[in-house]
Amino acid sequence: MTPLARITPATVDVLRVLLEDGASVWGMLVIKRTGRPAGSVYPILERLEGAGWVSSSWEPETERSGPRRRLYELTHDGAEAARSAVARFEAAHQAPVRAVRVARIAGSVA
Amino acid sequence: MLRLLALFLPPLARMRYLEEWRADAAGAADAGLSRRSVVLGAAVLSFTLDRDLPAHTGEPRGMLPRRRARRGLALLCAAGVILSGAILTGGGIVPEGVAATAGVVALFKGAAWVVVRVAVLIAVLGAVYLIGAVRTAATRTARATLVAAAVGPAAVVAGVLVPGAPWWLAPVGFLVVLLGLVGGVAVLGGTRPIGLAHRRAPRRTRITAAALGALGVIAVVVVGGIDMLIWNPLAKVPGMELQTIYATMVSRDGFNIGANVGAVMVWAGIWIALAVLVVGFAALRDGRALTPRRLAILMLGFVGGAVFFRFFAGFGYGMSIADTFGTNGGDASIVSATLPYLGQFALAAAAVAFGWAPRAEPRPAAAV
Repeated sequence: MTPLARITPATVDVLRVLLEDGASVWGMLVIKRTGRPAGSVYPILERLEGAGWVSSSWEPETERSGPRRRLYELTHDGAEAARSAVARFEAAHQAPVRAVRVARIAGSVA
Repeated sequence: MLRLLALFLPPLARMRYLEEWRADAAGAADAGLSRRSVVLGAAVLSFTLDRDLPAHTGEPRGMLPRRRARRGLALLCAAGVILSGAILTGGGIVPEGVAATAGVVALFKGAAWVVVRVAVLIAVLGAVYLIGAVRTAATRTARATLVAAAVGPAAVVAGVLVPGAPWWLAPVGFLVVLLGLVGGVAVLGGTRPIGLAHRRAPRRTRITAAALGALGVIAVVVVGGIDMLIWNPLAKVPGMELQTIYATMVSRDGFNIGANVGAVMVWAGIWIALAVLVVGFAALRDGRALTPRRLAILMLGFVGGAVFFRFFAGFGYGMSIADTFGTNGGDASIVSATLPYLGQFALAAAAVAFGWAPRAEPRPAAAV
């Protein structure tokens, strides 16, 4: 598994969906749950898979005919890295909000 | 539409993503999404896909940018050789003399026009390959090469083809192309070392290819030699017999026939000897690495070298004819006008053959 060069908010959304689900998720459901366009989610899934964070497989035999759906899930190492990446992202993006709140409280006390 | 987009993917990724997209499009309504969003997503992915991913190439990472850079450099070298030839021959030699009818002259002028455009096109194609290389390499050096590879040939094209373009545009473009070449070399050098495939060819194949190549070299040398000794003097001084031409050169200019014929013989002997040596080496067990492609590079290089050094072997003739008969010192026969193109394209073909080394057989990713 290789680390990602950059983790965008869209990447975090995709990682959250995969972490929340915990099992194999159809790519279209990842798109739906993130609320991001396919043009954003498809490349992210491809990048995550290329880096070894995510593995994909064809859906098991179903009664539905036609092309098979591709299912995505975090690898063992990928799940750990994803939890860490999401936590770092949230901490980084909550820090400014906390700082503003602290400043406001300090201002009101003074 | 999805099938068309899949064509832009590496072969090993094509079937997987096509089936995935088709399944997504078929089930888009189940997920409350539109088929259009799938097509847009597929379009973005087909453009942004990591083409150097081992699962997509069947090769170790780094092979794709290396191959693209090698091909891009080869094409730029080929274009450089052809354009240099055009500059050295003053835009192409135009035949003179009895055989140079209006039709022949027009043909050669047209060929010179076409050759320069072909060279520029080859340069642009080389830039495209380098751009592809840096897209997959994605290092700072590679990005600098990307700019040089895109801007250099564009400046040359604009400088050569656009009427009224400033005179310095094409030379600056060449300079930028050179910087691109340096960048390309740096990209190649920076790529992680990868074991070379030790390619070999059977003895029969080697001997056949080497013999054919040597025959080509000998044919060019023989024709080029006869041209220097007979056809070109006749074309320079139309209406005069060869013996008279030589006798006049000796009497008026002190032309040394023995030394100048000797120079032509030495020139011919060197290139024929090199070609024969390669044939001999190809027949040996130690020559197993001489695959047909490598032999072609060598033999095409000999053809290009022979044509280039023919200028020096025939220099004494040109000068003496010019001094004796008051003509210019340039070549005049149809063969003399044709051989430079042959030499330029032989060297260009050698460069391209060097760039197009066969790739290792891709290993498909595990079918999961």
